[in-house]
Amino acid sequence: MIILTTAFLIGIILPALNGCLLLRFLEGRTPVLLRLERWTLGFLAGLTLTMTLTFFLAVLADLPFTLPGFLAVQLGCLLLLTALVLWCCGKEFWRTPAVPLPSSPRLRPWLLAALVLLGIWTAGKAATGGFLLLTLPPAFDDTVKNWNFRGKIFYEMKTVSNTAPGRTEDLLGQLNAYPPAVSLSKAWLATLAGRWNEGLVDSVHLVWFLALLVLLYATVRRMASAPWAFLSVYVAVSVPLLLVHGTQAYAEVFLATHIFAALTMLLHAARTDDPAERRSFLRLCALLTALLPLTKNEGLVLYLPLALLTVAGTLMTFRRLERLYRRDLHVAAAWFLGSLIVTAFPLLLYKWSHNMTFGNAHALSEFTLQWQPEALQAMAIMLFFEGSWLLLFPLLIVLIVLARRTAFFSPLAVLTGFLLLAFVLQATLFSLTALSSEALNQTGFGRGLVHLLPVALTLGILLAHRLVSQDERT
Amino acid sequence: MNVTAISNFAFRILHYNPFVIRRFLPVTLLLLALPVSAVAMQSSLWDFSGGSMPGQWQMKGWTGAQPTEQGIRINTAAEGSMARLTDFPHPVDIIQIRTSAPREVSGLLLWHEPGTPENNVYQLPLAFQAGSSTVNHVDLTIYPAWKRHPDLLGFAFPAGTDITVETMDFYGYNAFERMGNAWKSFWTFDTFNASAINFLWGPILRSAPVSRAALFDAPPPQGWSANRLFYGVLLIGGLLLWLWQWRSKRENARRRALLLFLALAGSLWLFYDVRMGAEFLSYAKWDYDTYFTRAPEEREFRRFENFYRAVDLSLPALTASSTYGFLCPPGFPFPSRVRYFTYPSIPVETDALPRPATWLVFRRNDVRVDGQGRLLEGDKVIAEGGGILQQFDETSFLYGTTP
Repeated sequence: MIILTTAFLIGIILPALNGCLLLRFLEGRTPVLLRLERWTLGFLAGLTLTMTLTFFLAVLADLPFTLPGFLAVQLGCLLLLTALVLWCCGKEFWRTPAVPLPSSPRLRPWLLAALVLLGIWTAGKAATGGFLLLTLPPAFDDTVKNWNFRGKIFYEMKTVSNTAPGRTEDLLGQLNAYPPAVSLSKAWLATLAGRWNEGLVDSVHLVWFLALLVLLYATVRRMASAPWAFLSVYVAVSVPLLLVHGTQAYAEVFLATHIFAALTMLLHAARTDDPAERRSFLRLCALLTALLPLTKNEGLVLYLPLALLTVAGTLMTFRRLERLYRRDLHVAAAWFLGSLIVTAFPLLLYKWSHNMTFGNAHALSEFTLQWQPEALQAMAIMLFFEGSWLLLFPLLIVLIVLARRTAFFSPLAVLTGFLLLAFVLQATLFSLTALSSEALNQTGFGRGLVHLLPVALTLGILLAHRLVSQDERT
Repeated sequence: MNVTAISNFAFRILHYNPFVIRRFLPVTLLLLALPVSAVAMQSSLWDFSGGSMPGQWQMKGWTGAQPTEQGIRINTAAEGSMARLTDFPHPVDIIQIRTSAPREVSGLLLWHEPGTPENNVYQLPLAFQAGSSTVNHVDLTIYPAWKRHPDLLGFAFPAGTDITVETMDFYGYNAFERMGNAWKSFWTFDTFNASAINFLWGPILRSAPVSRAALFDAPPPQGWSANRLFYGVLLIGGLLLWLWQWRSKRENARRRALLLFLALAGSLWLFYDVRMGAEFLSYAKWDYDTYFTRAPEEREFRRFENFYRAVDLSLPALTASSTYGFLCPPGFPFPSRVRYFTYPSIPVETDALPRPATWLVFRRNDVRVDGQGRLLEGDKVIAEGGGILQQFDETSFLYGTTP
């Protein structure tokens, strides 16, 4: 148990430290992140980036997936980034930004009691799910066929393999086409512990879920009082399918957290009036957006284009409102391009060179346009007549209608725009292509919605807050 | 009633809220508190036993249908049907049919709704189990075509049928019972099955009790999504509040209405969360009862039953060499799991050479070990010179050959 706990702590803290330093470097002389946000985003970005880097070093330089191999990358990055941050920020390194947070009113006793009860209920559900994840054997298909299995292959073979005895047909196909970060994270934890332990390798999913909840809290907290921020965490854990995914060894929450992280940076960039802060947020947004291709195939083919479209729309709006100098626009574009070249380009090159697919459930080359009328009905049933999301989507529609000005003509338009684009794109894909089977079988569409849940929840909470508080500045 | 009248009504209800609470709420609560058992479920019986025929039946097509001591026996070489006019003194929600048949029989339940064209007869496929005096519960409340008061009811069976219909019981539930059943079905939970990673059905409303226990057994669950109820409450509440703020002369009526609507939505959310949260916790309870609190050799894991236990107990033998054999029924996701747990040892095909020394057989009643220590799949010899190392259940075992 001590070995497993130590492996877990080292396995999470080292990449998180790397991520923190990288984010601090990107913030430059204008730090903008709350300490909580920096650690959370640092873990998220640090783990994804260092695992991908380890993978490519294995491909290019035969770096083995052994303890020295993994540590070489982690410690190498740590040294490099520390030097970079000290050189870039100097004495500013330790400065924490004075982020003006909305004041939190003193709550009436009954309201406080209600929030405490909600907190116990929320913690109880999340802890129960977490306990099941850590103590039970993996039960769901993608865990044993993909994420954990590939991680175990990495762990056992100590190298990148496109084949595995007894499983050649699968590995040559879809399995290896997935970005390696999730599976390699498991191999990293197992390597630290010296053995493959189901609870340990799955524990990282709980940390991703926790990271999502912390980010949700921090994002809402920047715009509303602490009770509202807490309410957003309660609402997130109360969405049944999000809770299921948060406490299972699947990669949907991993992807959802990355999408949410990138968009919140864009949202903060849109909210701030300080040009230096905006530039900082845009640099962070550039990095986090560029991580999307490293998450899942959907991150590359679906959410990266949507995120870039949202970024482009936001930057053009900044420019039109003269909130961004032309030079800053060019610099921001260069950061996005540069980040993508560093992250997505090697992955694309690797995929092309190994003739791997780019789609998720189906390769992109299999897509032919054909109207699938039943898919729309299946999607409507799933959105409105099942228990996966409680009443989220109908209430979100009502809130968008009631607070339409805030939803479309305030910085929250970043979230509204992305969400609508994603819905339209998903609905189009599922109703016009072979992916309709994913909607009819209620597989791909449901998981696609899980990716969007953090954005939808934040938007809903902030619109409700706007309606309740009648605060014009969201 | 026009819009102004409705708004007046809503305005008064909300404006004189204390009055409503003092005068009408106790009465309402009293009505709701009426013991449901006081108004008993109504039932009727059609008894075919003792050679009797309840009512005037019209038969056509069948070559053999005659009353017997046990009931009416239909043993026919041609397809046909029998039907009669009904005289139920109560609405019908459930039909309980008792039959005997030497083998499973497929048939149709026929009915006609009053006021529809004479030849407009509804047909509901039914499957009657083989056996003596087996009971088939037919919950008709899930079929929109069933209006509870048919004027004609009967059966149709195909050629080659041999079945004896013994009795038919008809049950009807009153409004309280239907609401009570719907409430219970609202709190009936699904299990943590394979589809739970993609979607959760959520609460389903059923007004009859017989099929509630099996609500989630065969997807999709039949019944009304409780979301309809939530939408109804939201819609009515929203409408009343909108009308109230429209009529009200208060300065901040719009804002108050908005806050009340959000409070209503929040309350429904919380209620729904309690329902789904309880379902989530019931998954944990199930795992606690069937996995955590049991000895390792008695553990069962969700839909996989004793498979994980069998793999767990077989792991030392399966991972002792680089390959092993695995036999299981097709169509169930066992191979991917056993492959994952034993990796880097891997399962190979039955005809792979060299033959593996260890075989895990799971739920295969066509695989056995004969007296000479041979592992046989049907008549085909898969391995020889070994024996059963461990037995997990009647059709599951670990086989090992002696080196």
